[in-house]
Amino acid sequence: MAAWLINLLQVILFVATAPLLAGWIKILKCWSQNRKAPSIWQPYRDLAKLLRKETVVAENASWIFRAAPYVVFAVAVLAAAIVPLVAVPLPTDQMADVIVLVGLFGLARFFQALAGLDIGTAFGGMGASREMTVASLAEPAFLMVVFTLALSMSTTNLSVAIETLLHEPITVRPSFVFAALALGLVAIAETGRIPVDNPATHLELTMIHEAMVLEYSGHHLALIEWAAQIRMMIYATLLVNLFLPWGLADRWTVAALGWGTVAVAAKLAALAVVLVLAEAVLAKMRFFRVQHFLGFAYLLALLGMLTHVILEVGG
Amino acid sequence: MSARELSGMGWLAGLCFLLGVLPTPLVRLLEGISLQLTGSGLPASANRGFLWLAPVSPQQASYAALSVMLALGIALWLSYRWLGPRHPERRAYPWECGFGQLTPRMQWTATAFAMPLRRIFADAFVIHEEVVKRPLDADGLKASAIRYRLHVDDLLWRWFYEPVARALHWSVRRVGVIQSGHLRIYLAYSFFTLIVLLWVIS
Repeated sequence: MAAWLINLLQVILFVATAPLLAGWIKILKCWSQNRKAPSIWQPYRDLAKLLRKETVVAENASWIFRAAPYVVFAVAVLAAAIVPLVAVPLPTDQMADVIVLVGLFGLARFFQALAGLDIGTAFGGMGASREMTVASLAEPAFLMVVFTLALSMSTTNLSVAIETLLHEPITVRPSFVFAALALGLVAIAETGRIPVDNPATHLELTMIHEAMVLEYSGHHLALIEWAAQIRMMIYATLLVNLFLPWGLADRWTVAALGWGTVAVAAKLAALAVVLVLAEAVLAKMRFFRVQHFLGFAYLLALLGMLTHVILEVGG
Repeated sequence: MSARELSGMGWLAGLCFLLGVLPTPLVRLLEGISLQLTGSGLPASANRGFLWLAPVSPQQASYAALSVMLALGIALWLSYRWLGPRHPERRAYPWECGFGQLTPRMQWTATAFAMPLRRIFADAFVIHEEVVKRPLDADGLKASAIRYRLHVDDLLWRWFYEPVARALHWSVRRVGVIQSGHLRIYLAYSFFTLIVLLWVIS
């Protein structure tokens, strides 16, 4: 029972703090560009504003267009429920392992692309087409990372994998280094950051995710933005908690949980710095270069698996 | 589309959905095949009731599709309750990029949707794409009609199945030569067979 309560609290914390991470990234981004940064609470204000505002729906929108924001948001929350944030083990991880997590992302993307095509405008179709193209390259790379992890931890259950890592002495596994790099590249592509997509622009030649959700407004847009922030947080948490799990609580005492929260907050904040620094030195790449980028991610994941087989098995 | 048209695909989609949500009974049915072929089925630790799909043990990998579905339903309902519409939605004309009227011709077709994929995976397919313009004026700058043709072939089809089919056809034609012809050829066959048989017997 306590486990389920911890799990529920963790989901609430996840969903509630996702805009905070987005705000922190925005601040860092502004600093890196020598601009005055908005308050860290700005994403919350934006969400509150969008939730209050009137929602405009296109005349020819079908039920898919109206249902998609709820599906996308609900799936993001569900995905957040199976990623350990401050404590392990989570009971939900037995219900859905990391392969289900990949599937959940796929489900959300499917509905978002359908909604993009639903109105029949050129932008929606363009965004949906590009998003699906990126996904068709990112998903195999993500699954390859998952398989590398599954091979070296002999489990696809996130909680069990992280618990095992927590209890063993600190070792550097070469396969994990490759897998972490690959997951980082996949995360950049999937969360629509530079150099794959630029979330700050509405330029028709370059936008992917923004083109798909161009017709949304009001509370629909709020749900989609929030879901995107949760997705960002999920990828960031996966990166820091799988590859640097230290600090996570494995006992449910107040001290351990508090320490876990502080540790994950510090790790996420540091990861955001790395992300923004990378974005500062990179330019948005041409759309038809994305396959090289994600092909490289796939290659890294594959190398991770090979290194595991060559160096770590039976060693 | 009418409901009857949809029902043709609908019941198949429904079955897929059912299999996805309740995979365990089907896995149990398939276990019989693996028992016959390899002599071993799922380990006893995988048996956790009809809700759970756990190939080895829940410590390694498990999936409770119905529970995930149920959780998704609850999450959907809660997000609609808490973050659902506050005001009545306003219906408005969609953004048509300043062209005045949104027409079906502006929509992304299946061809357009798959264009980036076609380009990226061009090496895996044989793609014939052609644009035929019928010029309207003498200098050929304006077109009266544009015809676009696209044909995508599977490379595996060309490299694997077609050679096999060609080899088969070739051998069939060789055999067919014996079979096809005039009546007198068949009579000749019988005649020569008879002679050979008589020769063998004598």
